[in-house]
Amino acid sequence: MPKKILVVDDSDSIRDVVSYTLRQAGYEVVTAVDGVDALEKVKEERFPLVVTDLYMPQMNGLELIREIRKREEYKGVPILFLTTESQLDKKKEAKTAGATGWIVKPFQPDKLIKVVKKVLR
Amino acid sequence: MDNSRFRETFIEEASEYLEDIETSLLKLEKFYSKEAVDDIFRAMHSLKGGASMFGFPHINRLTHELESLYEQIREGERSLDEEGVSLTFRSVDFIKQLLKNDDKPTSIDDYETYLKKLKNIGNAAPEIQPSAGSSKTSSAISTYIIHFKPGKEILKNGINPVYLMDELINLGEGYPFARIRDIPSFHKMDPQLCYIFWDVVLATEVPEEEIREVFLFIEDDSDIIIEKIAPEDLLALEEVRKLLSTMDSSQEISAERLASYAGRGKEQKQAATEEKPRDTETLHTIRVASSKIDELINVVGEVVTFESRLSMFASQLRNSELDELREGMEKITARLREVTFDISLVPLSTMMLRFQRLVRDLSQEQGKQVFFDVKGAETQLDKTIIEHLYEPVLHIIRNSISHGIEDSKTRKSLGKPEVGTIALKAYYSGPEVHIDISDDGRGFDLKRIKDKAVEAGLAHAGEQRSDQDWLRLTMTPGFTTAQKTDGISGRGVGMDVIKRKLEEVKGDVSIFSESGKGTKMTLAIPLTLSIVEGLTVKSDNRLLVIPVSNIQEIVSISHKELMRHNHVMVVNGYSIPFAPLFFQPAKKKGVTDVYPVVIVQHQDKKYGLVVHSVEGHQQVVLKPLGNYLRQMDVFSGGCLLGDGTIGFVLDVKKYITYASKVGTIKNQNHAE
Amino acid sequence: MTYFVFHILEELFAIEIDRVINVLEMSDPTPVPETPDYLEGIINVRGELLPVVNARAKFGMPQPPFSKDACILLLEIHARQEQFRLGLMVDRADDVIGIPDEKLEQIPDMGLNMNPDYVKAAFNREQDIIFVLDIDEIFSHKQVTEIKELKEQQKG
Repeated sequence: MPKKILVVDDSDSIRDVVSYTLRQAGYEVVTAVDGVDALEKVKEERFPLVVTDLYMPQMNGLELIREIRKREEYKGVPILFLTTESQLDKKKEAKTAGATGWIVKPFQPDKLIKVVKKVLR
Repeated sequence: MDNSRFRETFIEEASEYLEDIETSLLKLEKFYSKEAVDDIFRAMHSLKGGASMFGFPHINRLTHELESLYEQIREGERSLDEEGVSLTFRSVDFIKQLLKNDDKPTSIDDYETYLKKLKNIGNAAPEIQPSAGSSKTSSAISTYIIHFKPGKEILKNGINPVYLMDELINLGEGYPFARIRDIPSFHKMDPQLCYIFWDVVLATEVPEEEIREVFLFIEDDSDIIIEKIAPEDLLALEEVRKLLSTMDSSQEISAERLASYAGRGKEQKQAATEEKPRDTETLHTIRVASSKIDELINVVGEVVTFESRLSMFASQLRNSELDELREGMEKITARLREVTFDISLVPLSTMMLRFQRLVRDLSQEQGKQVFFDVKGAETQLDKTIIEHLYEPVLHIIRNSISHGIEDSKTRKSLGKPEVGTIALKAYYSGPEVHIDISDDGRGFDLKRIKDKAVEAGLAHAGEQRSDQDWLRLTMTPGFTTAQKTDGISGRGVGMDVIKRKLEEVKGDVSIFSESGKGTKMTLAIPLTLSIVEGLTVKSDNRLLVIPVSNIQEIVSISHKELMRHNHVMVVNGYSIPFAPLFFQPAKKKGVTDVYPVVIVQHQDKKYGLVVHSVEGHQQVVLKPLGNYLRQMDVFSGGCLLGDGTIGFVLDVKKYITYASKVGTIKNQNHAE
Repeated sequence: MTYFVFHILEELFAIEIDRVINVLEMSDPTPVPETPDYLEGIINVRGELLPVVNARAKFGMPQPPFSKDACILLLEIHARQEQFRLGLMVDRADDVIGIPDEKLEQIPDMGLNMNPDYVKAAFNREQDIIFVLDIDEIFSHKQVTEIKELKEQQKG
């Protein structure tokens, strides 16, 4: 049974490339366009991994991570956030909010998979 | 950790390599074949590679010698003689033993002596140096000690330290030591915190930054110390491996002590880049852990059960669309069952190699010449059943060689061919597999058997029985205890054991023999134990399932007939003994004057099982009733019916035996 | 050593915690023909069929109806060369306690209404005595087939 990953990003192209890369690697992907959409989907099922951007309209990534962590069934579920080099100092804040790790943009497909495999088997 | 999983895989693989080697050796005994020599060389090479990777230094050295030996033979620098073949056989046995024993030889002296012998055979052979390719990579390997103490809270952020350990060890070869001393008592422990930390000795060729990267997400919250202790692969050294494998989780690893081993290694670890020369074979098969197959069969079993239930409800609803779906489901589930069942089937040939070996060794040992002929090795059986067959067939073959087949001189004087034959033939017979094992040896001496039986109190002098029945007696436990050391006793040893082992898989054995000419034993084994097609019946509100394969027909009986004293009914001109199935018929009966009777067959005799009602007909998944009830063998097991009730599946054979014994079935005419 | 303590009628018994796999809700086992009375029958636990023994019957105690506190202990037995599971129907679960080995006492001569082989030791907890059961001894095979074998011998 392939594992399902929730990918959250308001940018179509980012969503596309991340989804495509993950699907090629054998994962199943569900996408959300922002924090609110993601939260809806999170309420419906328990994804083994969530990948989210930090800057999104309506509900930003940090808030989404906090909301997800409030849910009992998401305790211990890895959450990765997408970030650019210049924002790497965000990681402390993100980790406090409950993030597991990060993926630096731009990324090579195999690097993405490598990071995913760090937290998901 | 993960290493142990690889070790297991290597052990399995090694067994396969060894089988291939034995097959080639058996070929080489008869005639020289370059292909066989090549195969042995490649197999030894792969074995050596795996042995060095997964911590089997003794196997490593042994296969190293054999690999050089066979390389020389391959190059024509040395010829292969009988002694060489025998020695190789012995080596295979050695390796098997080392595999079983965690690479510890039962006697180090024997091992070293043996190794020396091997070395002398390949006498002026130069030590095979590792190929240029591998030495390049091995010199780039360094050894590190990594201390990894995760922050207590990391689990809350979704980090799994086990995945990190995996990632770390996958960088090369590692020995992890989990430190558990900080784990508080059960009551004080918070399951959301991580109390364990690790020390890992890692040999890898990747740069230090890559090691650090493993801990990328947690380095701010955890203690990570990466210490390089040597610019070489210390884990290739036997002493280091030994030292590390004997350490436990409470012992500290001293970096200085490990570092002191640097510079000692003469043996280089073979790089993992060596290829396994088995590519051609892996094209059409995949290796699957048998536990996965078991799980698959269980799940399919559940599917079958649910499908039955769905079908039942659907048929009650009388909805045409639903009916169509129901039919489709039934067909697909049946197919699923077939396919899964097929996966769990394994050909008998997997066992044959071991028997070939046995015949060869035993006949040599006893100075007899025996030809082992196998037909029908492609016949397939459920894999669990096959394992149970090994011992009985082994006993039978052993008995044949020891006590059946005569030595060449005797055979010649009897006008028999000097080489005796043991023929094994496997074939399907209805829902069973039959295995005939025949020899052209001296057969059973019926007179001696009769005498022995009388002596053991199993029969009376002058009693009339068929030859078959007399032979059957040799499988009674009482028979073997009356042993004395004359010709027949050897035959008796293990016979009742054979029968018992077969009964464990619901099988049976029969003996045919002609004094002076030979003996044939026929083993009958059911194809599958797990899914039974049965008739569901009710008896005193108890649900029972009678396997359809045992059922001849269903008739009925009146209450008056049921209460008759002699418990025999007439069906189609035959008189058939009957028995109420687990109930006591009431003396007076009211409305239901008629009872269904299920006519079953056992050993050519028919019996009628009287029940209260016949409910239906369905496939059930046989579930064991558990060891506590194992002796209730009148049931082959239980099952879960469509509506969740528990039913009992009748073992007709066992039930008839039991019922005859306790008098429920009165069948005076039939001896049992 | 940690023990699971429970009531059979008014008496207290204990079994080592690592042998108590689970505590199940009371249910109605399906009776098995030709088995002794103390074998209540078979239950279905997540697809596995397990025998259930009535503790009161097994230990020769009176058998008033069970209360709503009654439950079935899923036990793991190690007998001879094999392991198996079965359920034991008891009156009430009590507690999980740790009893240091030194505090275990020899069985008192009086006050034991059951086969002394079944009891490994006793422990005093305030006013009560808790009897530690030897489940491997209690559930060794011999007894279940009694009826079947007895019948066979009588006629055979």
